[in-house]
Amino acid sequence: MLAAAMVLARKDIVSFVRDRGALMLSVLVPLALVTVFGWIMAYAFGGSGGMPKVTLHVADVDQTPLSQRFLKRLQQLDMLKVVSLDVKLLPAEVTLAQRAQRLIEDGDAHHVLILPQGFELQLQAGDAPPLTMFRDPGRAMEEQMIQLALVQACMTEFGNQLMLSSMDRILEQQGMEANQIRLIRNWMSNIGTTISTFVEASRDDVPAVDAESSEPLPAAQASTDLQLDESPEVASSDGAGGSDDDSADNDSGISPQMLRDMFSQIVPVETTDVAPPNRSRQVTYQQAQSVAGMSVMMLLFALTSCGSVLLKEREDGTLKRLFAQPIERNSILLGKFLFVFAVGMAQLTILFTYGEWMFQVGLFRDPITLLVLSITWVATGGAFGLFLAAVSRSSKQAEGLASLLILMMAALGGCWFPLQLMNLPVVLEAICKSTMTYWAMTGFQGMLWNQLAWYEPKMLVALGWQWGWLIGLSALSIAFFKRNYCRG
Amino acid sequence: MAEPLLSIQGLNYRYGNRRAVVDVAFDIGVGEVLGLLGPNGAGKTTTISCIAGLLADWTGSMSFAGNPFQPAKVTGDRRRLGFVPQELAIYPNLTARENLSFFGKLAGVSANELGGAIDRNLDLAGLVDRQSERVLTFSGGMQRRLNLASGLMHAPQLVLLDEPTVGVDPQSRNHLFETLAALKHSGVSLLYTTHYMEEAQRLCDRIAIMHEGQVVAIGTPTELAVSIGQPGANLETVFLHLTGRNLRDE
Repeated sequence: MLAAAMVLARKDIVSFVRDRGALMLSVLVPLALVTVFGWIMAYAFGGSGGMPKVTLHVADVDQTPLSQRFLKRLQQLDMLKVVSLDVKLLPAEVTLAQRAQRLIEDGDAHHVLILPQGFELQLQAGDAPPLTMFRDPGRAMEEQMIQLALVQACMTEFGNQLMLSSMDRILEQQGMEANQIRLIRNWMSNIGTTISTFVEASRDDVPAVDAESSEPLPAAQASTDLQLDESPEVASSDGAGGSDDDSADNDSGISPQMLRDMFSQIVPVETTDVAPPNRSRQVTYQQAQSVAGMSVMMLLFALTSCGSVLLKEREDGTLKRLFAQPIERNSILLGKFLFVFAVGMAQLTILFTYGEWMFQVGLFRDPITLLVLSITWVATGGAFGLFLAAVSRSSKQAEGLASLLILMMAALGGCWFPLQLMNLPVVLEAICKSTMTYWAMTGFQGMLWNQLAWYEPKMLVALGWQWGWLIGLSALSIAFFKRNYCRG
Repeated sequence: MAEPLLSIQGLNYRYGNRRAVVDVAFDIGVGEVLGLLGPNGAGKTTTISCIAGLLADWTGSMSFAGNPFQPAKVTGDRRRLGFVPQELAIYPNLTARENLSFFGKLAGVSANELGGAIDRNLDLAGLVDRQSERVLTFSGGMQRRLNLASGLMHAPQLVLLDEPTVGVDPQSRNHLFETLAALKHSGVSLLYTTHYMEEAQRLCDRIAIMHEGQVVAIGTPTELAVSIGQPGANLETVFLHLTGRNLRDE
């Protein structure tokens, strides 16, 4: 039995090796996928830094040394990709608040932080730094990371003395006696130690501000700025001083959530939620991303499979008879396209209906936009499927190419995870933005999450790119069809 | 010979550097059956592919009923032809009726005439009783008959048949012969390629023997026997005399 099995296996190996196209693809597909995914994952979720990178748009209205220093500190955090909004470039009729809201409504930003006029003055007066935030309330993950980033930046720049003096003032205002305030201050010192440990733990990730390039702090601020790791008061009052980071956290019983709650009390951020009125509060960004991403990718697989009917016609011999019919050759290609389109629309309808039933992501809220996006993506994907069939010499080749290209485009286009969480280099970002999957995702996310209508500028750009792909792929399909099929 | 329906002069075709068809010339009259006989690689299928419009880059000239004929370039020229390829070019997941309807519509049969054309060709193929069954349930012979009927839906003046009896049982082959004879009697011209001498002898009015891309002899079986100096010789003897006894490796 083994001898017969060996003979069969040998025959299959020889056949496989002699099919050069299939052999090349079997080697190239894994290599290409490993390369692309390795490349992308190096930037995904923080890459080697271990933290996802979140984009934060910041507008420095104050434009003072302290506000600029705070902005620089934010820029130095590994977990943030800070995009500065130049308030001077705003048209006269548009307020900064309107601009921030528009950015979030269009899905171009999810958090916009404003350092308002008087930022420096208020800090110098010993008050908490005034921060104004416009945010998309559905971006919970980014919200948490941005809060952490603000904690880190404020603690590093302004020190816990600022917090303690703020607390004293608040307690005095509440009519509390001096000894009670002292007790609370001791308790706060313990918390400060925890924060100190937290900041120290993060220090490796935060490059120190270049002493030469930094503006000197104003006198009032300098007097209150406490270097946490050098504070004898903190070190002496904390029994956990000198212990490692984890034990400090554990000993104090302070969780990151508590830190965030505490921070929001001490440095209140005036927050304005910007969300489409009809978006369900139960839907998360990740859910919307997942529904859109999987729909875009799986449809591409299905359309590619349908596109291979052209190859099947050739392999079955029926194409020869079709060529002998009194019809235009391109009508065969068009017929296949219409078939693929019809199947794709049916599949997308089923996918979306199921997705809506399972996750209630509001797919059918704007049926016209959904229809426009669906038609565009199905047509583009169908043209892609036919293109693969037109360039391939066999079904095996087409399958290999489809796997390679679809998986690569899905990863690059953001079907698997949000590209916003990656710190992509310019070249890779440009490659991502050149994929048709990226623009399909932009369109579906714009509809699902930002509830944009098809005629909004951002949606028109996404549709335009897809139509560009559609036209290009159709032209290539016709050219390869003529070359590989019609010449006999 | 009757007035030529199709006339071919100096037909040449190359696959890269290899000359597959070399200066082929012949006529087919109205209601005539011309057999293209030749060993493997002789150029029979290439010749028929040029006439069917499957290959475009041939040189030479063709005329149909006295008019220039460019089937690869002029869609209307292909309407004059029926093509029955060597492969089973029918759709196994469609029924016999659906297959005939599909090819009838592609061939330009009008909606008014389509039902009648389907019934006529189902009858011709002997598939009236199985017309609503999927083709994948048919025997090889039934599929061959449907393959032939699919090329006749638009009642073409000339039918090109590329080895239509390959792998067919004797009963179905006999049915095909009867069908082709009926077509001939109705005035349809047939160009028929085959390996089988007895088929050619039985069906064809004239036979063109092809060898290495060229037509080396053309005429009735009797004329061919005379041409090799062996009057009364059978077709196989003539064939071997003209094409040699070497094995064909192409």
